[in-house]
Parts: sequence; structure tokens; C-alpha cells
Amino acid sequence: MTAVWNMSGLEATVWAVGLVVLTIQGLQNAIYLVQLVRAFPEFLRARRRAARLREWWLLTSGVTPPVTLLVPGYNEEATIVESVRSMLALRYPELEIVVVNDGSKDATLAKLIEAFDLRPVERALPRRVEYKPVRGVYATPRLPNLLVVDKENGGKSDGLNAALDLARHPLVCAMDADSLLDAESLLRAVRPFIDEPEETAAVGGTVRVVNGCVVKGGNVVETRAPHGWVERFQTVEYLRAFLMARMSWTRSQTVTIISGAFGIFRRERMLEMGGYRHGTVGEDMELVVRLHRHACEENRPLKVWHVPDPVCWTEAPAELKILSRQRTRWQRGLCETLWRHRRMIGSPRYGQVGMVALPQFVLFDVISPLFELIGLVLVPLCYAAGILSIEFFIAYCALVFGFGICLSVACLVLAEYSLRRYRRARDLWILGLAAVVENFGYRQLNSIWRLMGTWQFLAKKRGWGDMPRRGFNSPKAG
Amino acid sequence: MIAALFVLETILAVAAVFLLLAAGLWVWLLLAHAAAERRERRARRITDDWLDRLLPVLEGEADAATLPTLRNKEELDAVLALLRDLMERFKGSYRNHLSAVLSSIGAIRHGRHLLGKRLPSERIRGAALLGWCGPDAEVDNVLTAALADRDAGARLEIADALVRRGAAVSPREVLEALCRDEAARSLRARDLFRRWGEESAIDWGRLLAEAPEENARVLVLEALRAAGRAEWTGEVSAIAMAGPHRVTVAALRVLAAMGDPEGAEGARWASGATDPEIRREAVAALVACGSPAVDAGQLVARLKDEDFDVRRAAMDGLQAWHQQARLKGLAPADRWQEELFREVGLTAPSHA
Repeated sequence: MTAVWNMSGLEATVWAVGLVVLTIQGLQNAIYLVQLVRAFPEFLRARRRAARLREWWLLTSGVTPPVTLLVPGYNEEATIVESVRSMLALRYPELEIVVVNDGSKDATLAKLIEAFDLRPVERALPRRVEYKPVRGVYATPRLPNLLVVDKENGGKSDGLNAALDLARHPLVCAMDADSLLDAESLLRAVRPFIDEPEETAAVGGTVRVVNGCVVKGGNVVETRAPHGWVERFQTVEYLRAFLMARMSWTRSQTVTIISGAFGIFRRERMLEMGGYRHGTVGEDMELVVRLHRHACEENRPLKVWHVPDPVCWTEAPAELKILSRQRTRWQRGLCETLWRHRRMIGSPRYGQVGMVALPQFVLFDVISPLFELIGLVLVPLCYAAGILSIEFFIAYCALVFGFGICLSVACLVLAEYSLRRYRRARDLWILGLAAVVENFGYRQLNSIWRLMGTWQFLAKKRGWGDMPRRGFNSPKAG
Repeated sequence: MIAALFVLETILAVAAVFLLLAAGLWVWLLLAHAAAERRERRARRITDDWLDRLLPVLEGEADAATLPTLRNKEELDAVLALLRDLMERFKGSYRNHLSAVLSSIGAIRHGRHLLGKRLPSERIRGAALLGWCGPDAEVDNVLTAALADRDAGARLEIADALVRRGAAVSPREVLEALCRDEAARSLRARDLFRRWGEESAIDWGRLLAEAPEENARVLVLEALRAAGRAEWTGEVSAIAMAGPHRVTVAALRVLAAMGDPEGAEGARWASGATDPEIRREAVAALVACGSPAVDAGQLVARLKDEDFDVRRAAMDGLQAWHQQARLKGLAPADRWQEELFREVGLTAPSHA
């Protein structure tokens, strides 16, 4: 190996950049491994909870807190009726459903009116939070717990705020109109609100990919692996995100993301904070970070949980073009939230959230993708040019691919061992393969999308972009 | 550079170990999956066999003593899961015979075994199971002794089991066990006291007077709410006027549930509190305890409250008392009133 003092300027620079890349990747993988180890006891706990004796009590109890589902939807004609049917079939003692048609251009409202025989009703709109004008509120005596709000288009936050303002119950569950909840999801997710009612302000559940699953009457009756590879990679990715990182954050009480597809919040606390914030595409993360900020600044107790066993099913994009749009938007949302709450980053006043969770996002989700891509281009080129040694090249590949494969496979194994969703061994084989293959191409694509998202944030791009849906029963999705 | 080389080689070695670990985990998952499949097939067979035995007993056509004792853990787990499903599917209609069935098949032995385990989650399962088993003084004693458990969740489940079984345990003992830590703050603790209040003739009023701290008072108030005996209204009303926030809210809920006119004084006083949650509960209590002739004016005044939910509670109260006529011809004072007036049909609908 060339000695440092004999290196040319270019070689020294390449080595320095290479070492920075290697260090960041190593650190990232080390943190992921720590997260996996910390999440392990939570996996075991989830498996033991599957004995389910405690839910006997929940179903019959008079103190199970009533919940309002907040369901904003925009151009959801393909899935909305089935989604609402699935919500109506949820097993929960006291449930109110507020569906918001956020100025859809398609037949979302018409489909709802027709399917549930809705009629216009008068409901007071206190406007404790900000949202666009409401055009009408619809209900039916046949389903007294269902309310449909038709309003001008204002985006997801706006729709959620309208639903929040109309909600009557102390807990609200924000979910996407194109998602399906397992029948017992709410019962499982409210547990922290029952065990620690005063401190718990928010609980997130697990979101999983519905593509490929058998859906009947708005319920996922059999979990199967998707047909396409892009969807399979996302299935593994969702498992890794929801069942590793978030369970580890729960242990340290640093959960800063609750997916917009499924999260339960204390209504009063949300109203106090002004509800969802406009002008961001990452309204779900922004809300939770603001909850932490508010609690620390006001010196109020706060607990935010991720519970692994309640599951919400979502349709994952099957095409790379649409996936790219979704991922760049997520990254923009992350950057917007980090920028908006930059005061918290590295500040001891905000506890572990400020000192650990948010700096991790900056390092691993904003900065690291850049170095990862530099490494992917630089290391093979420089090895080919003889600037970097074979040892460096192999170590780099081991870090990027070896650890990546190990993490993906371990998450899949732990998730499946503790929650056991796939009945067919064939599905396990397919997903096991996906957990390996996703490291060669898909993860790198994700880094590119992250960079694109960061760039769009810097360029002040706004808006959501279209997310076409196929519906839960379409032959391609199913 | 030797150090750098060492670091690179270490990374390589660690990655290789992790890759091997991943492969090992993968093989293990496939084996575990196959084993679980086999277990499930066996459980299905057991369930089919036991369904034919259990249904006549649960329907009261056969004696629980005719049931055989469960032979192993596998059979026990399958039968307990079956019983749970039956209870759920038939909305508790089999509950009358459930405890006799559980006692006959040997669930008590299993429950006691679990109660002695090291893991709190196992002890919780044991207590939950014993809670559904039939009367047995020995089990009651075991559960009462277990109230000293270190784990808050286990203690809560044990207390719940004692109440569900109707065991002769002192409420003070249970209160002490729960108030030792955060267990008393759980909604489950409130639920068990609510059930206790419904079922027993304990002097909750005296306990309330003697309850030393906030959590204990909230729990006793929950029992009082369910018991609904008017002789304690005076004490509860006094607490509604002077308690700390949580206790006041609980006391107002008791007044609302009792609906005793004697409680109106406390509700009237609390409806002027600074905390919106207290005002909300106070308005609900006032609607239950007060009279339209005396208190309708108070509710009309609350229609100008700075909290919308208080206003809604006041409007709901006026509707319950059929006092909307008092608002006829009244111009809404602000946007919130306008919205509420429209909702109850006092002004023209927006979609007309």
C-alpha cells in the first residue's frame, strides 16, 4: 500500500473522501445494528402479547377511550368505499369516522353518497384549527358514526384539520383514505393510552404493503408477497423501517415519526397546538416533532409510542416513476421538518430527541445519501485506477452490501417470527430473496431519490404530485 | 497504514460474520415456520375435537364435570384460544358456564403455574386466566398474596382477577397495591373499580373519606359512580368544589351519573372553573342534577364559553331539557354560536 507521505494530492483526497464515506457508512450500520438489538426485546414482547388474553377486557370495558377516525381523501374513487367499509367493520366499542373529501376532481364524494345513502346535515364548524371552506357535511341515520365532509381542496393537512375540528372523541386516529386497518388494530393501538393515559399523547402502528394480499370486504384475509419486485422491495423496506427503527425509538422514547397512514393522537393536545401545519408535505413527522418541542418547552410529560402489532395496510406504488415521486416527497417533508425545528437539533433542552434522534436524521437521511452515492461511484473507479487498494474496495462492499443484507434479512426474520403473517413458505422465500436483492440497486435508487428530495427542498419545490391508485381488488394489485 | 489495513480487515471479518448470521437466521425462520405450521395443524385438530365437547357444556346441556382434563400445554393453549373465540363470537352469551368449564379442564392449575413464573407477561397471563376460573378460596388467597408483585402490570391484572372472581378482598389492600406506582393511573384500574362498584355493597363513601391520596380517590370515585348511591352525593359534591384537577373531574362524572339534585350545587360551582375540562364535566353534571327552571340560564350563559366543547355540552343540555325555545329570536353572539344555532335548527340551514 502506498504510504501517505508518498501520495499525490489527488490520491490523498481520494483516500480522505473514501475514509469519510467508509466512516459514515460504518457508523450508520453500527447504529442500525444497535437499533436492531434494542428492538429485539420488543419483538419478543409482541410475540408474547399474541396470546391476546388482555383484549377480552378491552372489548367489554366501559373505559376504552372513544376514538374518531380522521380520513382525508383526494381523488380516491378507486378505494374509498372499500376503505370506509373496512373502517365500519373495525372491532372497537365506540368509534366515529370522519371522512373528508378534499376537493377531489373525481367521483370520490358521489361514490360515498351512493354507497352509504348519505344526506346533507348541519354540523357546527368551530374552526379551532385552520382549513379551507367546507361545502357540505353528509351523514346517514343508518350509520350514525359516519360523517362525510366535502370541502375545497387544501391538501392533506387541511383535510386532517377539518376532520379534527369536527371530531367529538378524546382520541383521534389519522389515517389515509387508501389504507385498510386490521379489524383489531385500534384495540391494540390504544393500549398505551389505557396504561399511561396522562402522559401518552401519540401512538403509531405498523404500516405494511397490501399489494399481493388477498382482500375481501375491506379486510386483508391472507397476507402474501407482492407480484412485482419493486413492491417486494418496499415490503421488506417497510418491515425494516417500522419494526426496527421505530421499536428501538420507542425504547428510548424518541419516536419522532408516526406515519400519516396510521397514528392515534390525543385530540385536545392537537387542538392546543393548532392541529396539522400547512405548507409541508411531511405533516406527520412535523406534528410529532412539534409535540416533542411543545412538551419540552412547556415542561409537560409526553410519551410517544410505536406499537408493532396493530397493522395498517397501504397500497405501495408498483412503478418506479410513481415511487420516485413518493420518496422525493417524503425526503422533502423530512427536510422541511428538520429545517422548521432546527433549533431543536443538538439542543439538550429537547432531551434525547434534540440530542440523538434529530441529529441522526440529519446525518443518516440528509448527509449520508450524498456520501453513499459518492462512494458508489468513487470507490470502484479509484480501485480500477489503482488509487484505492483491494482491501479498501472489499471493506467498502462488505459495509454497503454485507451489513445491508444482514439487516434486511434479520428484520424480516424477527418480524415474521414475532408477528407471523405469511402462511405460505413460498412468500417467505420470495421476501428473503428480496431482502438480499434490494441491496443491489434498490437501496442505491433510494439514495438518489433522497438527494433529489433534498435538492427539491433547497429549490423550494412545493406540492404532492399525483399518486394513482389501482384499488385493493384490482388483479394487478391483488 | 497498518492500522488502516487492520480496520479494513476487521470490517470485512465483521461483515462476514453478520452475513453468516443472516443466513443462519434465515434457515432458522424457515424451520420455525414449518414447525409453527405443524403446531397449527395439530391445534386445529384439537379445536375440532374440543368444540364438540365444549358446546353442550357452554349451552348448559351437559355438566362441566364430564369434560376431560387437558393433557398438555399444546392442548391447553388450543382450548383456551377456542374458548376466547367462542366468547367473542357469541358476545359473552356463554359466560355463565365459562368459569365451570375452565375449572374442570384444569385451567386453574395452569393459571397458578403461570403466576409463579419469572416473566411479568407470564404472570399477567396467569392472573387473567384465573380471573375467569370458578370460585375457589385457595385461588383467591394465592391471588391476594400475589398483590405484592413487583410489576405494576401484573399487580393490575391480579387485582382485576380478584374483582372479576368476586373474591373477598379488602378494597384498601387493592388500593394500596395499585397506588404503589403508576398502576393506579391506568384506565384499567378505573375499570376494575367501576365493576367493583357495580357488583358489591362496600361502603365506598367511607373509603373516599379515608383515601389518602389523589390516585386512590379517583379510583374510589369510579366505584362510587358505578354504585350510584345517592347517600354519598354531599361528599362527592364537596370534592367537586375543592379537589385537585383529576379528582374534581372524576367527582363531576360521579355527579353526572348519579343525577341527584343535591349534586347541583357542586356542578354549578365547578361550571365557573378556569379549566375547560372541568367546565365541560360540570355542565354535563349540571344537566343531570340541576333543574331547567333554575339552571337553564346558567347553560345559556355557557353558550358564550371560550371553549367550544363547553358550549356544545351546554347546547346538548338545553336540548335534553327541551329548552331551545329560550334561544328563539336570540341573535347569535359570535360565529361559534351561529354554528351551534344552525346545527340545532335555530337558524336557516346553510345548504337550504
